[in-house]
Amino acid sequence: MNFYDVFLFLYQSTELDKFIALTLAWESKLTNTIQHFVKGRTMKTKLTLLSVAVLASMQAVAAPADSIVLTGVIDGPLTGGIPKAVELYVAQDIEDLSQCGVGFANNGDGTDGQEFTFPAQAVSAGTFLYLASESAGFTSFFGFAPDFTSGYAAINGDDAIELFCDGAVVDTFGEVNVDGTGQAWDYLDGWAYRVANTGPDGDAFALASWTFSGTNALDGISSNASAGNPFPLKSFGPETDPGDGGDGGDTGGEDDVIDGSVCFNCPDLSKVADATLFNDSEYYGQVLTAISNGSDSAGEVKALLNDTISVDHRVLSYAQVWTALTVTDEDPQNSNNVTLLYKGTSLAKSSNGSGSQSSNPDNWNREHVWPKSHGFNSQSFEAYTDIHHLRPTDISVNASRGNLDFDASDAPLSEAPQNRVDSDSFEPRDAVKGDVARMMFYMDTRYEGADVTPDLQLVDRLTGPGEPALGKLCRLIEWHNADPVDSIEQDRNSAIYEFQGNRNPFIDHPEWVELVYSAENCDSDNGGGDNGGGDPDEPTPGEAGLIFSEYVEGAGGNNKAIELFNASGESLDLAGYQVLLYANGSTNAGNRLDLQGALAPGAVYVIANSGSNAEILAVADTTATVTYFNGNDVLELRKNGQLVDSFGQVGNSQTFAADVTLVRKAEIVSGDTDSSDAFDYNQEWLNLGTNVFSDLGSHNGDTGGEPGGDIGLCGDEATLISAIQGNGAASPMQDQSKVIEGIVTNAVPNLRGYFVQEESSQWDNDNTTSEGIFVYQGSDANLPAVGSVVRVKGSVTEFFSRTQLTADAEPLNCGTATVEPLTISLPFEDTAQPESFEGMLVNFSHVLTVNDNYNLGRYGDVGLGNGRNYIPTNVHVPGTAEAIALAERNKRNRITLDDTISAQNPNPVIYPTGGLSAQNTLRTGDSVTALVGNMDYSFNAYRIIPAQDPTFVHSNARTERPELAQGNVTVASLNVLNFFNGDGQGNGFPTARGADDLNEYQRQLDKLVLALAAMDADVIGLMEIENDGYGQSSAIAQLTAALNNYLGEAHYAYVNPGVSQIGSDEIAVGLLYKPAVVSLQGASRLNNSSVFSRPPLAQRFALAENGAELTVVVNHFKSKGCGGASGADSDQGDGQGCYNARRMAQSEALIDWLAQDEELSANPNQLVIGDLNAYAKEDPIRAFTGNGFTNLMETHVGAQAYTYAFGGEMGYLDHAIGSDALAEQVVDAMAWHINADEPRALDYDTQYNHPQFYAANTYRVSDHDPVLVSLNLLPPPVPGDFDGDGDVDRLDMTGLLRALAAKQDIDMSFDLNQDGIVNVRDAQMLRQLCTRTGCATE
Amino acid sequence: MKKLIALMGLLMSLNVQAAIINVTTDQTNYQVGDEVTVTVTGENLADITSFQFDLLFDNSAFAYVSTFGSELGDAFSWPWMLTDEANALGRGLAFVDWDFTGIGSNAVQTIAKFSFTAVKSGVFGFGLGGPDTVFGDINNQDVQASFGSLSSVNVADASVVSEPSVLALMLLALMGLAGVRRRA
Repeated sequence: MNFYDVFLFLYQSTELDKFIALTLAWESKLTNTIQHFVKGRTMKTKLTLLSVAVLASMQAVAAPADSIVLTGVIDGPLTGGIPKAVELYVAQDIEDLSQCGVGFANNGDGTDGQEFTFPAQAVSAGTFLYLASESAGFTSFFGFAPDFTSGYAAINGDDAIELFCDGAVVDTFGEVNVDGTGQAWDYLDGWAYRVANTGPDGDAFALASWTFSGTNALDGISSNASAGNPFPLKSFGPETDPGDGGDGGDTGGEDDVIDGSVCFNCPDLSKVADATLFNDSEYYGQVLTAISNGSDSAGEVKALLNDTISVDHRVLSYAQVWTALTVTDEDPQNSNNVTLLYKGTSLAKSSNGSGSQSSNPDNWNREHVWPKSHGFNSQSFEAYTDIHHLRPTDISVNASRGNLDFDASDAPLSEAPQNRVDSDSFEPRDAVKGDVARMMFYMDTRYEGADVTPDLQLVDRLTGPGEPALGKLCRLIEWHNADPVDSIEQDRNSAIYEFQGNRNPFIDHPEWVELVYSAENCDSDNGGGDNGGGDPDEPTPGEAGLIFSEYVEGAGGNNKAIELFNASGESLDLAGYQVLLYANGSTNAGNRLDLQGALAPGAVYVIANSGSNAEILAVADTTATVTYFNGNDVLELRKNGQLVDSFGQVGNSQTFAADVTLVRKAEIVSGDTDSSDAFDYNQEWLNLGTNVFSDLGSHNGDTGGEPGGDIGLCGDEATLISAIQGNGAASPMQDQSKVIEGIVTNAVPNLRGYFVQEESSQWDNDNTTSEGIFVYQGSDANLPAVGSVVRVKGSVTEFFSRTQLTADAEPLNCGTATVEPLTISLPFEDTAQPESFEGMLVNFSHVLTVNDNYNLGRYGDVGLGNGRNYIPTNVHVPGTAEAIALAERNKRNRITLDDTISAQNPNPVIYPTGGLSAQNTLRTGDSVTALVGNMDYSFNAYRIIPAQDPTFVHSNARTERPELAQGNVTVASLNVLNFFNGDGQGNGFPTARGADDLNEYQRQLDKLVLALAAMDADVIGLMEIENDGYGQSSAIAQLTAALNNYLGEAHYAYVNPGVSQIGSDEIAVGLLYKPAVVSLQGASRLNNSSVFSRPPLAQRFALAENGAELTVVVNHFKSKGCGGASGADSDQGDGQGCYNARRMAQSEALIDWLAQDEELSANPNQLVIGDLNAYAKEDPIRAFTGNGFTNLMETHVGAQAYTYAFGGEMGYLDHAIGSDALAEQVVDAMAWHINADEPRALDYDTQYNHPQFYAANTYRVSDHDPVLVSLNLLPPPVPGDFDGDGDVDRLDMTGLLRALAAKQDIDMSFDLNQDGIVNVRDAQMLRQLCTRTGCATE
Repeated sequence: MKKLIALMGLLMSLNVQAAIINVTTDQTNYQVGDEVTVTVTGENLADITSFQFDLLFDNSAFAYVSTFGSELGDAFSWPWMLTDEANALGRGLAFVDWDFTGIGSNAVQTIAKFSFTAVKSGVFGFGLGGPDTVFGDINNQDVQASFGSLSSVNVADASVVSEPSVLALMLLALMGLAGVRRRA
């Protein structure tokens, strides 16, 4: 409930004192609120609150007791059971009938309360009112229309009726709690009528006060008049004396109350003002002051007029209108008659078409000159009973006029041939054309939206019923000028003033029509249509022709030019035209230029100063001395000597246009033919600023012949961008032609268009509709400048789901304004939220993280988010609510930073700042700390089109080597991304999966060697090595050789399992090691079980340092790709991809192998490494961790560990899983982020790889990061080594004895004689275990 | 007496080789703060190559000072090793002869002497044994050990006058009185 609702409520309520106090206290707030709600963007309506209170006081009075009675009810016999109606009798004057209402208690279910409320109007005593369920049937049955209709009145003969006033039941028909069927008061297909002089009965139905027709009494009857037992209309009490014409009452001024007997069914009518006391300068004080102060813009004047004529407007009842018209429209020649508006003839006042007289087509009725179907179709609207536009007309002529617009029309109206009519317009007789026009101006000015009546608008087009608008404005202006105010109109205005309290300002001051209603856009010809009707020639300043369109006076230097524009609409021969320059106040033109050639319509001719810069000269058609101006010199354009246009005031030497670029306003099509008058360039020119040369060479003006153009003028109405965008993905106005006006937030030549955003004062309050839109101009030049207000017309299109406006032409420049970006944040509330910003200028409330650079090289795109996105199954068990929630959140946590370049593999790639290169990388995990741009939708993603260069920060910087705490042995694993060496002799390219040529191989090898060298691990497991055996030319042999070559020494060797190939895949795993650090213990082992895609390779090593042993198993599990997947191997939709079942089987086989193989199980220190193609929480990994193994990446790195990027999410497929015994000896574990974060554009592949992308460095050698584990391996315990120093000597003996004497707990491993107890007997046996002779210590 | 001889004969016939371990203290009566020397001796130790047992006493009453005076050959150097450590029961002793030759002599030898400081008054005992007692011989057999009886000591508070002197004074007083009576 907003303040306007409160206002309206209080306006209608009885709590006047409270209302006044409240409104006085909240005065300014109320004003602002009303301003906000008034339709018509440029106009402010200020309702003086005290005057509102006064107005309210006339309405907010309680209905007097016993003032209204239920007198009849009918359930009709026509199809549908109509008419269904109640008759009410007003026994005493009621000032505001809306205090009362009616409720229909259907079917005995008890009271339904007040369902219908009467409108706010006064009714006088003696009035019969009819409330029916509908109008047509009622009118047909009774011969007159009901006063009110309401769906609630659809009674059935068994329904009770309650009459309420001020919330209390004042009269009742029937028993509300009883269904009337079969009751004494049943009126099915019949009627009930109250006995005279009874009631009202409050809430107690008095059966005895009613007479009944009996049920079904009306069956088969088609009208009340023909019924045997008709409904006794209006027989309850004295109706206001109908009279038979009589002597019609006075013509106002002398008597304060007009007797209603002057016409049929007419109530008495009192006056509220005295026209003889009217003081124009007082009444119009505000307006007159504003005009004399120069604040006389159309908007200002209209607002003040609205204020003036709304105050003191006493709203009449529709019945009172009869009475009023008998005075206001009295025939000056015959005081018994009224003058009919359209016919012009006179008719008896008493022949008004009220009640039973309404069926006579020759009676007169109340014509709504502004048709009621155009904005106020019931008596609850003030305009319905506003007598300024209600005129007596012949009933049938009124019907012919219908609700047509006013315009010159084709054919005479047969009944009143001075008037004309056609299918879409009505043209009244000449004598009242001006009257009609001024009445319409009154209606447009009086009703601006602050009333119950909506904002009525005069428009210069045809309108339709339902619109609160009427046309045609220009025609009405013409009629106003053609038919000036006469005394009859003035008298009428005064008479209205006495009854209604307000005046038509355009009768009192016809000169104000011009101020409020501009004829600028109207045709200057003598009206279209067949009947000119005496239109005067409007003086036109000049034909639309050749005009000055731009003036450039640059600051510093000679950057000067003038531009001429052909607004005539047809090609112009320039011969005969001359440009003249009057320098420094001279009255003689010192320099002249004769023009020649032809100029196409809409085209420009640029004359430049020869000393201008290249930008100006590029668009100049000629150079001439008429450009030797410097700000105080006047220009003229003459044709054959006659002045056609001018710039400045001849003879005035003052500087008026220096250091400025001026462009002629688009709506100016004809020249200023008076060069002697004062010149202010602001009237017809826009100031583009200093040293702006970009606008030269074209002009967005109208070309003559078109009536102002469909696009309209700056400031005209336009479609709101939010309405075009709508609240869904697609526009509700698709394919429609619309005009928008807004601020340019971004001009994007690469997209051949620009983004426009509605000024914030025009925003709707719906945050699901965007206030911005992309305008496709189709050219990359001449885009409007950011910050300019533009008006553009185009068709609304959905371009691959981007809502845009495809412009018809370049936009009109309407000034400048600023836009603040809307601050948004990720993740979006839902995936549709960005649609509500589509086209708008946005920035972010947080730093953005680079999450996806996969397409950086290919499309120039960067995926951004709020923080990094992790693979859901890397963090949560698959299928759990947390995993699902994270997957859903990741989807919402992304936006693409667009480069606007549509070419693929662009060069350069513009992100990060400075362009992507091997040295200037953009890693995932890096940041964008400032981003301002437009939300756009294209290529199936929401994108930010930057309005300013984004700021990149390398927050996830590269590291030169892995930062791993050292132990006594380090093991690493790396997927080398298809390392294929051809035939090893320089040929054999392209390879099956790896390098396509020797060059690519060399690039790959160089990076790989550097990375392996930097890792400096003692054991290295490799995946995706070419499966070409172990000979000299094999991939693994040559890699090892290259590595050793780089290191300068043969540090590394490779494990040779002694087979020509491992398994049958093109790729295999391999092991490198440093013989100086670890030695091979036993033969390597392979598991050729078919469950493995690539057989795992295991090798037991012993540390040279201390003999501690370690078994390493290197693996490459089946990938998640779905080729050939079926059954349990197909994607189960749990985030684990395809072949999860296979990988599970591989895990289980591996665990079994490690437990059961004699050699592998002998050593408890087991380390499983490699690319398991499963993320941390997936089934194959959890198979290990539940089974005596530890995920070392999890224990040493944690939830944010990753080795791989996929779809903008990070996780680790590469693992180090140790037996629990080994896990205790781990010092550190990590992934070295040299690959997963880097763009793939930087890898060894040469395709689409611009030269700046590759360097021989350690980055992006592969798409997987290497994993490293450092361990402190301990040799196995020596029996008898009591002090744990690795040997057995006297120290151990002493230690054991002391422990025995002190009764310490001693490990049972010292029960050397296995008698179940550790005592001196075991100590004796230590003698045999001594490491050195004599058990000597070292 | 006959029974005793018979018992001794029985003992000797059953276990002629049983080790006999005894404990004595240098005094019976001490005052708080006095040095108490406890001597543990062994007899019939010729074939013993290893043993462990405890000197049982209230180690809150006596503070350990030192171990000394062992007659077990070169007991603290290789290849014989005797260690003693405090434990909950008092003090544990552990001995191994890693040459496996046996201690060599059956005569009574001092296994070790311990010096303590009496820290509180009361009647206390020094005993031998403990639950972890083991004696092993050159045949790698367990050997029975017989531990002598408890050696009881009294520790008096330093400030209290000893009872016998009080008695003596009283006797002297009585005799004096008697003498006075006679003269009259």
